[in-house]
Amino acid sequence: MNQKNYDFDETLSELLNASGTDDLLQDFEISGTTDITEMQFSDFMGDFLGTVQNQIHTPLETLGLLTGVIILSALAGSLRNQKQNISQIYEIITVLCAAGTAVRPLTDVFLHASEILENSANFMLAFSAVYGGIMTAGGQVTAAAGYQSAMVILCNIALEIAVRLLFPFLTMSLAMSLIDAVNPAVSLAGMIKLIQKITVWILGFLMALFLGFLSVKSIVSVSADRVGTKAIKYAISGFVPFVGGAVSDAYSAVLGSMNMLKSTAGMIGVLGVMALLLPVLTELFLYKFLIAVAAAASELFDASALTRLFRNLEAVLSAGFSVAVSFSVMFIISTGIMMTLGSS
Amino acid sequence: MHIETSVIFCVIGCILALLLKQYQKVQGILLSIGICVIVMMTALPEIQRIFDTAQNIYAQSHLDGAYFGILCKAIGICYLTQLGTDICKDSGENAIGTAVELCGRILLVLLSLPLFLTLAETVLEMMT
Repeated sequence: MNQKNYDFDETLSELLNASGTDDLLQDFEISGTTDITEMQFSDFMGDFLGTVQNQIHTPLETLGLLTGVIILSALAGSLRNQKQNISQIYEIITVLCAAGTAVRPLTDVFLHASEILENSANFMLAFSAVYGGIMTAGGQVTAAAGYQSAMVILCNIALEIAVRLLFPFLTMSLAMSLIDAVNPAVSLAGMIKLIQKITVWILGFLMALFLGFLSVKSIVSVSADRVGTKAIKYAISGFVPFVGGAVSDAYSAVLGSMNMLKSTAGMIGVLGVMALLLPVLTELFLYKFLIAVAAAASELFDASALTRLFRNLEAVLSAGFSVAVSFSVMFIISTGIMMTLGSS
Repeated sequence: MHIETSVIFCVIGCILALLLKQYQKVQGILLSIGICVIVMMTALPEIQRIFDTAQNIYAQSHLDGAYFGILCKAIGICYLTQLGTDICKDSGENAIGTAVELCGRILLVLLSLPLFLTLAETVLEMMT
């Protein structure tokens, strides 16, 4: 018996370690299964706020450094009208400094987001395959091969596209933004806009397809829109760039999926999904907001090259945030559908 | 630094330099240089305050603050180059003024070379 328990714990710890869940749990100071089952929502929120506090530290430091660069750039304002050449070189140096300061944290954020979304996509792929197998073995062949399964497959394809195509596109766009700001003679603005447009088109197409499938047969949804729901939908459509409308349309389905998760896996299921997705979204949003602040500050000091750099970075971060939000919506809904399949 | 004092000092200095240049051109130029140096020296403590503010911001963060030094050096080179070029050109020595400007530009490019290399490495890293 003891040997069995030992094996279970060992296997569990190996699984947690291999999937990277261990690191995630450590962020929330959870060390074992007992901690998970006994976890309260208030504890989770406390830990989450702690994580946000830790996360906000680096973006704020980056903003501080960027403000320093902007202040020093403003010092060269008096040179601008008289010695065009000297001030141009100084502007390039300030852009290089700002890029050097901001690019490392931004690249880390993109890599981190891409890593988490990739892990989630892998999880969903494995989850749907295993779950489908279990359902088929349990005699629910019709359900396993039905509409819902097609929906899950569509979600998986969308998630794979988001992780393997859209994020690399955005990283490329980030690199081009840096080059464009450093050398005004070589304008890459058109290329950057094109890449961002392609990203947004693909994202929009995926969301449209996803919502179209979802509206054919409402699997997971809540009751009709109330005033509160409408207000939240309106807020989402303004808050999420590019695909805000589509995400707000999927709000009811997300809520339904969360309810489904709550009724099948319990509150821990909801908390698990939140713990997985919220840190990435928070991080991306924080950087987007702070770069917008830096852009406003540089515009105030009439540092045009710095403003261009920050506006480019902000656009890339907005697209990244949209991809992450769309991905999260698809992830939550497909998890909800899987749960519906199991309980039907 | 009081702006009123500085402005009055500069205007009087200008008039004196113009008057002096009619009789003793070299001394007029020397007077111009002297006034520039004095005004720059009075402005230095104020510039120091700006640098201190920026340095405090850098010191409070745990990120790489190496860029701060580069920016300070670059702004110093810019101001000195402009001053030198303007003095030379005012004295009618356009060629020397251009040479000063060229030196300033070369120094700025040299100063920014490590930044270019770092950025190029980062961009290549991101593209691959």
